[in-house]
Amino acid sequence: MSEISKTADKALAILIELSDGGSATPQQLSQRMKVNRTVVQRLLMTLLLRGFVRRHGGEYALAPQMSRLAEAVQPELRQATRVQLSTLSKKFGETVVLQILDGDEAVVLAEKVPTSEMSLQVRHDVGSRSPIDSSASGLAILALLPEAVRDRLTRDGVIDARLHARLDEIRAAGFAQTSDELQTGVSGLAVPFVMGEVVASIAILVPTLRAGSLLDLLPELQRHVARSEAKLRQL
Amino acid sequence: MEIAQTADYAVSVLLTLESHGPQTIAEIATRLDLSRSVAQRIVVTLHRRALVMRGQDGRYDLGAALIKLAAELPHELAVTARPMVRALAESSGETVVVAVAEGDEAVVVARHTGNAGPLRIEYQIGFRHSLGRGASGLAILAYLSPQRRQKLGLVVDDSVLDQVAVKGFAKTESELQDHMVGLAAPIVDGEGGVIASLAIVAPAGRAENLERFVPALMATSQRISDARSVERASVATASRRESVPG
Repeated sequence: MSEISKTADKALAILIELSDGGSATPQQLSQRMKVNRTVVQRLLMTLLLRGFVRRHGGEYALAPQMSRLAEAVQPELRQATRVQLSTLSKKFGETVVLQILDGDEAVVLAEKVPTSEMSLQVRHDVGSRSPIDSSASGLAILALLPEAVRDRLTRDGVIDARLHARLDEIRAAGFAQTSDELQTGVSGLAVPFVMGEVVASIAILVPTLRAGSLLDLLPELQRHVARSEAKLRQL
Repeated sequence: MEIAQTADYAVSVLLTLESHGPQTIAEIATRLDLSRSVAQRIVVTLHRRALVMRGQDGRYDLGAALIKLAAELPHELAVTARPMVRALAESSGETVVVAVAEGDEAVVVARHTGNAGPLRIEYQIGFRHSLGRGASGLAILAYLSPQRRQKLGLVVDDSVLDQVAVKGFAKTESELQDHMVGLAAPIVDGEGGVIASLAIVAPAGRAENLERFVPALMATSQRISDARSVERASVATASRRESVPG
């Protein structure tokens, strides 16, 4: 694995700290992150000059221009699926996620959790990544990848050659289903689709103890994926 | 005060991907005038935090963790517009909202609830509706170029939009909700054209004299547009000044 830049990583850590904990003084950041205050101040200055943070009194906060960067992450894909994700989540009362491939892993681009005062839900945070060969989303995406990419991933040892038969089945069926593969207690049902070169999937994630009739949700899931695809073609 | 060079490179990579789209390591190195190994190390650092993602063609693009990072942030325009939205809501006594264009939808990013009486219009930040409906949507749609409008594929009577453009504001009644009337004017961004709208929304019972607020509405949307242009110009100057780190 290649080396990382420690200084650059500390600057990124500051952004994450400001996002999680809200605005803070250099002193507070220094204490929370266990980084020397002079270093924190220099990093904040760097971020300030690039417009990533803003200063108000003695406190620093993420600058609103960060939203502009966030909006530039796969805008078409997210826009075309937004309504479908919330409709599905509301209808089934379960968590629904949109994932795409990031290198050799699947990454969550959008997550819709049903609103409820108290309930047991699966959570899969936006930006979190997982191995592609063990989640419903990952398998669904793998199944639609071009042969050449699948072969490369096999050569690189990312996926096992024995998985190919299962992927062929998933491709033919148009969906992937897993139970307790990536995380014990979590089941998923995912339908993949293609946008240009990008393969994505929409998945319903449920606690396994509620997964008994998960497959009943497939027609509705497929309908909504088809609608997202149609919307993508318009964009 | 000194800046941290490699941290500045990391931030610059994100800005480069935003303005130029997906790039290979070699392309990033060329654009930022870095050695390939430094560019590689910076990209790996960003990738480990999911702030960039890698496509199947080996190109890197902005990553999903940026979405999470900004999730709680108010919209850029909301910060600019907030004091002016508040002033208009207080002077008119009615609810005032700013909605930005996102694809074929308008999304509410700022609002101030009026206090003209116990009957008030409540809006949620994040509420979205089609650009083809409601004063907030029509005030944006009417100022988009015909090509952009056609691409969105919304079914709206052209004569309605022409009228909005002639008058400078849109007025609708009960389009988004029964018994609600809206008046909206566009917010423009110097170079980019229309980006959002400013609306006064009132219960139908108070609709009769609502148009007396049109001058204040249009003056406020103009002020927000101006403030927005000033901000963008200052950000552009700052990043030009600092584009050569060290």
